[in-house]
Amino acid sequence: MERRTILKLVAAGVVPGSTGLVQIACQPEGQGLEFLSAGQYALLDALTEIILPADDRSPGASAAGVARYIDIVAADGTQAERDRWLAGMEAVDAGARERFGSAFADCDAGQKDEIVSRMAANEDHPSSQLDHFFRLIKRATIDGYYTSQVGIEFELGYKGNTAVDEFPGCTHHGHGEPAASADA
Amino acid sequence: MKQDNFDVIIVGSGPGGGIATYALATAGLKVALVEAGPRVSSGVDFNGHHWPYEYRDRRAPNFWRDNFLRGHFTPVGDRPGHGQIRALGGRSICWAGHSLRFGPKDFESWPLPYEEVAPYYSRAERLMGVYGYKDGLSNLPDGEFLKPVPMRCGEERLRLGVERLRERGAKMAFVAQRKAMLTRPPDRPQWKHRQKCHYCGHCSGCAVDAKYTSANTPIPLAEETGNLTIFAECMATRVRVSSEGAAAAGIEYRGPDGEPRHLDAKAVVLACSAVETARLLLISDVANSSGQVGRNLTSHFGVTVRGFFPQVIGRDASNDDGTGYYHSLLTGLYWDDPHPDFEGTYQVQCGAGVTSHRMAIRHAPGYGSALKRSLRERNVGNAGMNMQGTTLISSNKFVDLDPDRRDAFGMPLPRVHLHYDDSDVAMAQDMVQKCEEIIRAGEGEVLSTPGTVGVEDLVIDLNHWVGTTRMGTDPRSSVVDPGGRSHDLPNLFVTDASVFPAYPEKNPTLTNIALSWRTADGIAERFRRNELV
Repeated sequence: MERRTILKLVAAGVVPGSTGLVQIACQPEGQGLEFLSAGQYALLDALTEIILPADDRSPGASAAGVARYIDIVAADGTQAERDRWLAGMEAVDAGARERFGSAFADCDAGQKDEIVSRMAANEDHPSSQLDHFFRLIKRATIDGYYTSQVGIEFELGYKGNTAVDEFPGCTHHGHGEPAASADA
Repeated sequence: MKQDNFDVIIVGSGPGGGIATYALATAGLKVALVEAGPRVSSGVDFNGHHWPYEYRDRRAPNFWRDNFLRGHFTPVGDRPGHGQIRALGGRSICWAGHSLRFGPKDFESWPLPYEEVAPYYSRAERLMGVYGYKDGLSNLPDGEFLKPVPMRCGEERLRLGVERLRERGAKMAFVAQRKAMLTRPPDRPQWKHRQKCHYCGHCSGCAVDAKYTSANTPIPLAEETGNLTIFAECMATRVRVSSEGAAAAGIEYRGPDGEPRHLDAKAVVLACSAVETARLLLISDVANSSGQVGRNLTSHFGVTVRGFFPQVIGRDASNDDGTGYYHSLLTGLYWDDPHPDFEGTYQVQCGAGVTSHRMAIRHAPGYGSALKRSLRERNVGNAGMNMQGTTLISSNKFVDLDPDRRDAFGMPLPRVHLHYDDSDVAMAQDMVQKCEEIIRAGEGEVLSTPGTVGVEDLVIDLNHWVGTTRMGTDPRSSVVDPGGRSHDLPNLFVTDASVFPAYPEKNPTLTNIALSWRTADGIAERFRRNELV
């Protein structure tokens, strides 16, 4: 992460300057929700962070505020869409209780990952309710993360959306013409 | 509202109406320009440089998406759409700027040859400011170009793929796009209301008027002549004819207060779009002795194939914005040798890279850090290929009036009938195979493809409808003559793309503007000869 970028985010209140750990600084966790309960928010926050986690390149879904994004799109959506979220979250907790004897929030990291791993196993051919819920939450996580400042600026490293004097296009010899050795 | 004695009424201020307004006002004629929508201001009504996270639902404003009239037509059949923007400038405000001349072969099925239109293409390009490379292609003539804008990395891979297929005998070409955007300072008088492009990619509503629109070039220039009166927020509801029925007398319209009014003039020009011009003529029951008004409807349609090029993922992808996603074009297909399974031709608009508006690739398998990595790589290394083919002109595609639905003024809404023909599906299937071949020849992976194409995969271009007032020399089979004049009413003209009698794969707007300018010159000449009184 470039120092210049970090300073910009510090100024924007996204990154606390002292540690470099990224958090949503603007809104205390679970406050001001429009649709989710605090518990549901915590569940989605944990699930989305497993889907798009923090790593050495960039912060994850939690820092990007994805659970709050889901709260807003669900609040603005239809009743049927809200019902799908509610049923999906209940199914995750029910599955966790059945397998590990506690709600998802009370599972340890390994157990949480195992739950998500099973949800993701049938991604291409979903049949169970949890299979379908995985597709729903994954799509929302991707949409929320890559429209956030964290996703656009840190993860993608995107610096456009601004005025430049010229557009250089591809300047890499080898993209349009293979190197002589590659052509042999 | 003072009702002057107008020489000409022009209904509609999009690409065709805007240029006709300019040509006629600068010829010294008194022009009334009637536009259903309000005046809008670049930089006020549409701004660039938004970030999605500045908005509650992560949807940054988009002039097109937020303003086109939804539900203003009745769709019949295979998911037709109809985009209508009501604003001074019409859809020129949000067009993508693609400016491709139709070629000599394309005009073979028109009642006028390429050479007849070529001088107007040149005039149009000089007025608009069109950038491009001179590619020397037989049926995509070069124009009078400003400094071009190059392709991105993924597009270079597609070009490489095309070059390799050409070495094996394939007939196709891969070139950079040509667009009506100023790539130099606005140092010519016709560009005085515009600025140089700064490559932010927010072209659907250019906040600095680097992109040509009717609202930033022909209309303000026409206003400066003192010959133009603009009737904004005025909806034309009928073409009026003289008491003998032999000529157009003017129009009826509803003003901003909703009250019915009328305007008189010596000539009436319609430029409301292929759907709305047909609708107005059908409602008025004029200019239709041929029965062809609303018929011969065609548009562009297509499917999208995406490729992924691992060779380019290590590049700096910090700013791929440019002049919007499509910087390149696959063209030259079937110009000389028609395909046995379908009629007509297609082109493929190509783009690549990361955009600020919405990630091009929003899916990759799995979850976790591996998912982040593959989404990043797929977006950095993607290339999208969007087919633009012409739907077969047939009895399955037409515009008529809905007997049941009416608008706020009590006028019947248009119905748009679209039923794809077998030829259309076969064309899309060929395009999918070609694109997959090109991606692989460029050493890429096919990331997404419709595979086997069905009607349900086809997407209509809701902005490219043409044909509903087709031009021709025979009054029995066409609505207007090659000069854009009604065969039935000698002072009624059409200057939008609904006059196109045949439609190549190329984007319509530049030809619409060139042809409208030619028709307007013809109108001015008729005034000089006192034929319009």
